[in-house]
Amino acid sequence: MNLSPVNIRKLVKRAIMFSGGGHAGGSLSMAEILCSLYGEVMVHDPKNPQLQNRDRLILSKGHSGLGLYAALALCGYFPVEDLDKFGTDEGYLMNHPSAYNTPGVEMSTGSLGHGLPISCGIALSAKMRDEKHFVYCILGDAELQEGTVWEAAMMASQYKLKRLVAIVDRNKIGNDSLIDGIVSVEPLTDKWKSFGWKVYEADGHNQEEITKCLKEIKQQANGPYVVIAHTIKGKGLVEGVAGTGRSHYIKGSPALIADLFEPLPIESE
Amino acid sequence: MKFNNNNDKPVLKSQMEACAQSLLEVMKTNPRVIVMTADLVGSCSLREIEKTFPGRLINVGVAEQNMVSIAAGLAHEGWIPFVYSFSVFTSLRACEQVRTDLFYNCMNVKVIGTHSGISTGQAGPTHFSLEDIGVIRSMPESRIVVPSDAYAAKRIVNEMVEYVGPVYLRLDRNPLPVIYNEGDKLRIGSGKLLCSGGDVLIVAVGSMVSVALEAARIIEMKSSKKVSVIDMHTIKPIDHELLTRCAEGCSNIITIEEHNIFGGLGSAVAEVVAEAGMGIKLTRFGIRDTYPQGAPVHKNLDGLGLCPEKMSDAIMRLLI
Repeated sequence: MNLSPVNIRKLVKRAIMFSGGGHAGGSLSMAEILCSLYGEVMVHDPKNPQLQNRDRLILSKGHSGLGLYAALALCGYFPVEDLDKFGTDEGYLMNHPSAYNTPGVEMSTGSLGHGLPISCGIALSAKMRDEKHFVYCILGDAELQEGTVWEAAMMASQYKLKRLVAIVDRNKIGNDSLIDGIVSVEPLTDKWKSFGWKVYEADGHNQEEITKCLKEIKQQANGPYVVIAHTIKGKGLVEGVAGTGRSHYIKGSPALIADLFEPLPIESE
Repeated sequence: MKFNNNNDKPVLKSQMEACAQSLLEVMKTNPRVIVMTADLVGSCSLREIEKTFPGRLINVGVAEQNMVSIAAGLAHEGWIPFVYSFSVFTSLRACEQVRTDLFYNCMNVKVIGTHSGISTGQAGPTHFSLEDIGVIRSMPESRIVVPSDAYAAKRIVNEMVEYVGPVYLRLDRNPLPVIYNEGDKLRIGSGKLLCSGGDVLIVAVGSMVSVALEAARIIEMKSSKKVSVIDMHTIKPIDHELLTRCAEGCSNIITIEEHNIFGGLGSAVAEVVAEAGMGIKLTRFGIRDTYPQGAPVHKNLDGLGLCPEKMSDAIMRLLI
């Protein structure tokens, strides 16, 4: 199987069917973002996960680990069959990714608001050593309610972390419901700009568009940058579930899980 | 303990300054060591490091949580960050970052909690760290060191650089009586038996080690009891072997700490002694589950009974 949004969704679906439950919403909404990063933008080597000049990716929204596992497996970091054991007695893949046992995972994450400061540390290191690799940090939009995100945002612009790129999976839904109905994070673009970041916006389900932004950023290398990727939470789930809080974590029998997904193309891309 | 020749008062030295001097020396030979602080360069005695290594002193502003996570990112890339703030903030404000980004992720970051216990004096309870040892001790795979004087702090800094993995170091704000000689060996994980008696065992940490030594001297002067004193500078992992060996044959074990009696040294010692089935009476001295009000340090310590005279009286009452 090749790295593609369809295949990520297939693997996510299959893993949840096997395990009986998983964070579908955020895993599915970032499928195109992951394909752009791992397939077209990032320097990395699945055969050598510690490659010195690799671009680093920190998944700050660690609950979407399943999506990351799918992308890593499709890249060849570990066998795709390992996802079939996700969340089972035999498996090693947890909901929140662990750097201990999962090749390609840079840091163990899960608690929100940690990823951007960690990414700042990695980017600061690169700056101090004049290394040219980029640091990508995928954040959830509800995660932006965490104060540490903005502590890190202030720091990144002060320290001119030019190769730091935050990507916000802007699916508009938190754990409970619509973010705007809880505590709004808007005006998002202005917020990041006022913190000294260069802001891009993209259709988060248009891989070409995301890649165009990320390649342009790579050429400029004059950040910090944020890409606000407008997405649908649980993209690939059926109507009434996709784009709602119901997609955040789905569970049930294999048949029920299968019914929650839109039909996916049979052919692997 | 060391005393001035002219007035018989204890020689006092700052742990923070000793620690900073030690780091400065280490930084000259180890390019991976880096220092971070949250707007406390002056308060944590880091001016000289800032001046000598401006590029390796990272001041993140008043953002302790951010500082710890950034340090984790730097450690991920092979740096050895020493992150500085008051211990109340490193242990509580940045608690989850210390737990998840450092100990869970096993990032080689050294957390320096200064101004420990009630050493901020008149600053009051918002700046007291009464629970940091308990909080950090309960984090899996954590390591905690509480040196008792400036030379111990200096030595431990060198040990921490060599030790691979996160460590929490607790330092006093104020100069403390000198106990060790410069160059004395101290190892993380090995307590130090400072005097060997046999009737009573006092186990102390940090600022309370000099109090324990003085209290022991008074007890031995006023009674026939012989007192052992351990400087249990590493609270985790605690030195089981030294503790049980020295406790053997004693009628009482006393713990003294500038920390809440719950969760700190006293609790750690109680666990060891109880699990070893030694059946020895143990009494914990420290801050008895209260927030002392802001006051000069000596006044607070006196009020809490954490001075040599009151401590020796209290211990002798237990021995009757």
